Amino acid sequence: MISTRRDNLYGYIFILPAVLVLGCFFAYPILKTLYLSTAEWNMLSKPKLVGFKNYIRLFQDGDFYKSLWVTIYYVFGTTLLNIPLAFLCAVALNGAGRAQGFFKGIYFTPVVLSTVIASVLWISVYHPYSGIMQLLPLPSHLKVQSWYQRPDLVVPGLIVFTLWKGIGLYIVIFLAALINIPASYQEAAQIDGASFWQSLLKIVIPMLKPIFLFTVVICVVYSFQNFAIVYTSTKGGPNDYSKILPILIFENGFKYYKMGYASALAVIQFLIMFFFSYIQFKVFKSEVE
Amino acid sequence: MGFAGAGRRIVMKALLIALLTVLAFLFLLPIAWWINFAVKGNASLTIGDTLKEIWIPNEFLLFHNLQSAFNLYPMGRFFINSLIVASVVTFFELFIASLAGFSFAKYDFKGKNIVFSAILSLLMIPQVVLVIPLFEVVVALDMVNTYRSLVLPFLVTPFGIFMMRQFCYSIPNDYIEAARVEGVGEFTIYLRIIIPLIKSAFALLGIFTFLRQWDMLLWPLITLSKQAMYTLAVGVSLLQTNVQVPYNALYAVTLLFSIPVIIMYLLFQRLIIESLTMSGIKG
Amino acid sequence: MKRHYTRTALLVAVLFTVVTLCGFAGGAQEKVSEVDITFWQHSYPPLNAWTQKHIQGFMAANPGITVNFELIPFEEYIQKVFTALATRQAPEVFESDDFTFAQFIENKALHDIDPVVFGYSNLGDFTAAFERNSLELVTVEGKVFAIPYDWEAPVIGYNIEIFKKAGINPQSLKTWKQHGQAAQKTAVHDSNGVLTTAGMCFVHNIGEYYQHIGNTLFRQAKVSILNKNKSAATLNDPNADRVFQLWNDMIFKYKADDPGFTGSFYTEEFGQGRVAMGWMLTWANSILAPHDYKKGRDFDLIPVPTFEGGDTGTISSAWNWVVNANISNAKADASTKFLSYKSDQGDTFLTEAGLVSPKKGWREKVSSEDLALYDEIFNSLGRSRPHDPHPKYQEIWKPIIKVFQTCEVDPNANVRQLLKVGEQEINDIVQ
Repeated sequence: MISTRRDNLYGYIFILPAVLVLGCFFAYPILKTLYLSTAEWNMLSKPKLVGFKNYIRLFQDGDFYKSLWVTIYYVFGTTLLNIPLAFLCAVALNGAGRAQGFFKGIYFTPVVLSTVIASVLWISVYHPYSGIMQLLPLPSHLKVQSWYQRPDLVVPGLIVFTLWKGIGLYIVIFLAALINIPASYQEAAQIDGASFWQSLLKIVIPMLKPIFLFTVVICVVYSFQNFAIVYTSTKGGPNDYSKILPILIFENGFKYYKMGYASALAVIQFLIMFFFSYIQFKVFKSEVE
Repeated sequence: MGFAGAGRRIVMKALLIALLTVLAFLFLLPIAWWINFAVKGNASLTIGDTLKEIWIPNEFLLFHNLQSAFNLYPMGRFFINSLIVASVVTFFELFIASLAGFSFAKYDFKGKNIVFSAILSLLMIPQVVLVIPLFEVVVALDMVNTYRSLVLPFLVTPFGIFMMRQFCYSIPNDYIEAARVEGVGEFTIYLRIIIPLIKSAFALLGIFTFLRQWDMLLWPLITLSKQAMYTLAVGVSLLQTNVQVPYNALYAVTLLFSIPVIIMYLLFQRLIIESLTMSGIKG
Repeated sequence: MKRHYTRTALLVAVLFTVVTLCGFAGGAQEKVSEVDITFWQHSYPPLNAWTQKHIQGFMAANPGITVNFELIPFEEYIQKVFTALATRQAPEVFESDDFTFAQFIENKALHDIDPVVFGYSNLGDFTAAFERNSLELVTVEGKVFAIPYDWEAPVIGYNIEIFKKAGINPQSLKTWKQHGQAAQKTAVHDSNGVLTTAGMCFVHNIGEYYQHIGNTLFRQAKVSILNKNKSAATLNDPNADRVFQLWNDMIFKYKADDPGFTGSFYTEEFGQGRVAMGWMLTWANSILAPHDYKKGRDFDLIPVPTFEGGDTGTISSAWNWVVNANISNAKADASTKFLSYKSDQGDTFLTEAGLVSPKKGWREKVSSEDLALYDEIFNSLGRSRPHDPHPKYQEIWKPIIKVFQTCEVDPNANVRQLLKVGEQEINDIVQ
């Protein structure tokens, strides 16, 4: 694509509505957050500028590092399981013919249910006395106590719930993308002697690179931001073993009334997420970026 | 291929269906439980000494549970609010995001990458800290406790733009070039060529946006203070007092109100199916 | 057919958009009157109806004042109030718990309540109109800044049937040790070792209950978190060991409690007869009623046991009605009158909302049958003392809650070590 005057004109016009909306509503909040990160503010009185004190405190804060570790554990666990499983499911569904709609609907159902109530439900799911856990063929030491109460199992427990709740989304995305690939491509490769898996690897996946980039970035970003699910399920417990960064930020801001520190945490979280996204874009380096 | 090949194909397909079924069963388990709770009376929420008691409800109190929720708060009003807000946001998001996504994918202009990166970065800001400053913007624009405050900040999201951009990449440039050669205007290209080609993306984004707005809790919770304006998510939150939570009513109500989202899903799915049966693209 | 479908969708979208942009706020038309005040109450069903009724009564008695009543979900009530205060959208009258009160006072966010407008000639009479020091906590430098309602004191509720079967006399449980042993005897586990009947339910899943319960236990153990001027932590006190040891013992030694036993407050399980004893507050009674669980028949109350040689008192807590500082005098007066009116309805507060109001004068209007339910708790209120939190109350409790939670999951928790660390962390906060 050559940059032409037409491109410049229409390019700008078409992004104008989006930029207007986003700029109008989010420019000020971003600037304010940056400003507050250099201040102390308890929301009732005027903010007091303190320079980089918040950031210095942040880097010495054990809670921050613990939260960071928990967040990375949760984000990676979710994404590394979510995307490949969703893709494989979509591939399987693609080959399932007529039954596709039926299964797709089932996998998508958890997505449409209220997030908050689903979280409440899954607290009961893990309940040792009468939860679903009792039904499953698991070793008994995993069933004695709710996973949400065990420091070692709370994040895996949350990951399982997050997968149940969200994988339908990614399955549907992959399916929509797969549908756009004419079956003829894969069939042609298979006639040429490639196995199903080879044709998958060599042809389908590369063609879906933009979609993979999208789903991975979105999954990482959403997991990082998954305040609603984790807060409703465990409130960050037990003993902070599931306190992902958004919860730490929320608590510092709205529970300890330290909006300045919370803003600094937010800036740091943003930088971390930006860094991860940058890496993802580089990894999926396609001609599109 | 031959007979052996075909036989293997059938076995593979059967295996596939079996696997999918097991997965579907696991997925449905919590949902079956949800329905179970929604249908039982309050006294029998978790307890049963036999699995049968726990899983198979011995009473059907769904309407009674719904009734108790509706008696406590005007859930119907909340429903309408949610419907209006979600529909409007979805409608605008689809068009604004696809326009922007198309532009980012197929046009080349100065500063394109910077603007896109900036937009994408918005996704990465923890929403928790944005609530108060965004609310300040709402107050300054005199939109407190109105539909506008629930709709305007979310008319388009980086998620939508990102998604549309990625899907637009798959459109071959030839179609666009051909149209330009024929003298078709840019906006018409967007309307007549791009939109039909990314119908599945439209459907997807439509469902996601509707769902996101339907489920959004923190923003309406913190910023709305007139009960008449509450959305469903806030209404459900009203039911969750710290004690004496009417679980059965809660589960029943949330079940009922996931129906509109399911309807949206089915509606949008039709769009995808239609796009499949539509033969090719006008040359 | 497809075109018809698209056109309908488009039409609906346009209609909704128009509705949105016109700011169709709906709701009841607000009467134009001299003074308009808004009251935010956190939603609690028995209380909602009661408040609604008394707002009507107040407005009828005060024709120049309109009260707009808004129900706010309990979950994020305080966060919402703070957001509103930060953006100058806060209502005239709202609520505050004891802990947040100190924050409000330090930041001058509350309007003082004029005794005369309230209905008394001076502060002395005003204070005397409320039970046993209940106004003490909310009086700062001779001015009252809140009206407590929903006054709570802890008691222990027990299941009559279980204790009869175990042959234990609940009235004999005076010390935590006796209590723990009784809890051990009455707890039941299934074949997997999962607790199915709790011997004693402390509250583990609702954050602020660490503070409610902890405050009482600290008082009993004669421990203070901060020193007299609130300038340094005094948590690292050998007396404090027994508080956390009790917490740890109840789970691991007596095997009578389990953080995972219930999802929130244990009233559900109590109503089903699966709890032998539990930490109880006044409102719990109004919750047990729908379960057809009656005092005297199914359950009863005993005072909270204490440590050997410890204080027998407890710490009470209350929710308070407060008035926004940034409002006109006319609105402040109207708000004060409104609070005065509401605080006079103590009898219906008990019978309809199931809560105890500390303003005197209602007990005579209530039948002895309704009172019997609360007399026990009311007597505990006598032994209670409201506590006086530091403005950074929540922050200070963070390390303390951490110690509680460590004691909940670790059978070999080293309480001494934890307290040392905890005290240091608190010092970092207050100094």
